Amino acid sequence: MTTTDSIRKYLEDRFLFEFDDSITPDTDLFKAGVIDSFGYVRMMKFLESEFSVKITSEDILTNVFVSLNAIDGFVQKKISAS
Amino acid sequence: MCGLAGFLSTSVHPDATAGVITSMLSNIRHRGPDEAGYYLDDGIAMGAVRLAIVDPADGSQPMSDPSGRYWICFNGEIYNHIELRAELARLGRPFRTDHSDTEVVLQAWIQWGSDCFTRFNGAFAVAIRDALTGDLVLARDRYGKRPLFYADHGDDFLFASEMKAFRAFPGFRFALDPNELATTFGVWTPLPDRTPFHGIRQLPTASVLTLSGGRRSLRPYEDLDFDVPGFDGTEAEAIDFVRDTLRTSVEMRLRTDVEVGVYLSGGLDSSIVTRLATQLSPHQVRTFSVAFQDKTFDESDSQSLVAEHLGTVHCTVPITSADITDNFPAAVYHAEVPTFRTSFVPMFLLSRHVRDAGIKTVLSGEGADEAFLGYSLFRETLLREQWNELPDDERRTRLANLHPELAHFGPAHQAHLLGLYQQFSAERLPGLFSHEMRYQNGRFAARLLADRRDPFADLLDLVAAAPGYPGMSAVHKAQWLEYKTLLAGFLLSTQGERAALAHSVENRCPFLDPAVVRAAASVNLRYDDGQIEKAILKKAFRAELPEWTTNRPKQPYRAPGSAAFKDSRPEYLELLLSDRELAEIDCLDHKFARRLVDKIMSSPVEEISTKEDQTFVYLLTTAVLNQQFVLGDGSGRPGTSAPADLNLRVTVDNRRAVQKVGER
Repeated sequence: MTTTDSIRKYLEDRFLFEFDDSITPDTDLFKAGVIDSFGYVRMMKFLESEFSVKITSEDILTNVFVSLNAIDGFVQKKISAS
Repeated sequence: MCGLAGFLSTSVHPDATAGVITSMLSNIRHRGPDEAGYYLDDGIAMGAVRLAIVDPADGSQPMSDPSGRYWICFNGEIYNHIELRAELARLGRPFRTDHSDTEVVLQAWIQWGSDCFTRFNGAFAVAIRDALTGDLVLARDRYGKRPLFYADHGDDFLFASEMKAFRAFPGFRFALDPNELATTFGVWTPLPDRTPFHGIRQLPTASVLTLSGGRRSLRPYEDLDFDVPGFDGTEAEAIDFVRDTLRTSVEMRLRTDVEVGVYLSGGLDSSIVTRLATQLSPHQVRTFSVAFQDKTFDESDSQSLVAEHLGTVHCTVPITSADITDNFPAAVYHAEVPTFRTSFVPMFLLSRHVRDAGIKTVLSGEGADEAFLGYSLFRETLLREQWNELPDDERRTRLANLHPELAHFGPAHQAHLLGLYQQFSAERLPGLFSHEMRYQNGRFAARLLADRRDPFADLLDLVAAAPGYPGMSAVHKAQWLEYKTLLAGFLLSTQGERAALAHSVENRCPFLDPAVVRAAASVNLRYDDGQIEKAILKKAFRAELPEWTTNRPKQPYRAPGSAAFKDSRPEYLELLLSDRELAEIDCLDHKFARRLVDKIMSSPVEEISTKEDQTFVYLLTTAVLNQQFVLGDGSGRPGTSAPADLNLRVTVDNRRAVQKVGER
């Protein structure tokens, strides 16, 4: 499974939805009522353990983890930098 | 305390009118089992069931003035009725009862018209008929202590303290309204003038509805405003001021002809009320609490500490998860609206115990957190509002203090939370900044509905049009939203009034005295920065309460949620487990509902987030209401009294067609 598929599957399973015409990879998942604070914190933990990346405070404040594409882009960048 | 019901109708046959109003009253008999009465006139019927608390001998309803022109059905208590009666008597108003507050309301109306309502310090809903003009006036108290619903049914107009009274009106049918369900799921409560059912409205708090000659006008008689002159004095003087204002409030709420008990949750607010009640009551005070088998929710140690310290006769009702699931349908029937927590079920059971103990009236601590900024929501609003000006360490310190009871707010996750809060440091929903994080969870629950309308559209319209609202500070907006939604729409109603009156117990809230609300507004954030909740209230009562009570961290009152249903698997859970049953609620997104229910039923409890738990409780309450009110098969619904059970003391028939007047 690719990184993108893995994140997509995690989000769909965890937050009980499917990416479709109304929720796309660019949808702000906060605004769509998909992610909450509890889910957000758990998602960060998932990304760190699943892809062996370390998310720093600076990463968090300079990246916007709200859509599949944004999360995926960040993880890809982290993996290639490591 | 009482309940009222009535209708303006041209469709009901004159021979059937008395039967219809009697049946409507029977459906709300739990609100007033002591006696009942009705008044009929051409085109109108209205009546009341009465829980006799003030002037039991003389206060029967409906009541008229001596001329017989004005008729009143009154639900509630006016705590300053003694002062108002004296003032009205000086103005020459005639009184026939010894000390009935219902008569004071009627005479105040005759004297001052709708200006009378701002003079009332109390909890009320009222219907007044002018037999000469044919006008009907409905009004409700400032903060929503007492309910009043109305509906159009063809050309007929119905009104009642609880919607279930409408079931008895010929041809009336309930239907869920997907638009109002979306708002309720998003906001946690219906909006102030709405209900989850098609065509049924509630009278908003602090407003008057006049029906006159086929025209209708709804207007507020008082705006909710926190921008009062700041208290002009030292902190010590402010503390005395707060203590004295609360003392007077409790004193006024002890004015009854029956014994008054206190609900003691173990937190600061109810402990303060208990303290003042023990000082001011002529007898030893009886206190009542719920205790949970599950220690996560239990506060019985804190309750016992206060009860022993203050010398009350304390009584605890133990609640298990099975108690909650066994009594859930009956409690939902009384609540009448979908809800996000089960916490109203223990309160439903507590009121039964209080009634069995012979108590009709209790004091409780509701309203303190809204008035004195007790919720973490207010600190969170201050934090996010100041976010971009705060240094990093200050942000972290304040974040850590926001929700010490939640594991995901712990140190291990702090960096992640910084990113989250950063995103919520700018307003996205105009006027709703304070509640935007909470409302994100509401968006999740609104996904239960097939139609993906914006659950906040109507609330955005409401606040944009609310007098003075756009100019309020972020904290005042947060207070306004709490008073108008969660307080009136859940805490005072589903978890408060409806749960108490299900067993004929009236609750009184000293923190909802207008003088207390004003006093709080005049001292809030003036002597402290809001980082310690209710700091001035704690200082005011520190010397009189156990040290733990004023130092303990705030524990929100909660009860077991989805896990309780998963464990006990009550029969009505089939409403969600069976696809056929779930399909009965046609406005649902059945696929999402199924995924949610499957996840709840198959996942360990620690895998279930708060929003999922809340959404599950919304779904279950909606399914139960659909079964009880819409499908109407009555299963799980407590039996309604037969009209014969009503103790009809007053029946007045002033119809020209059928001239009969009787009092028995």
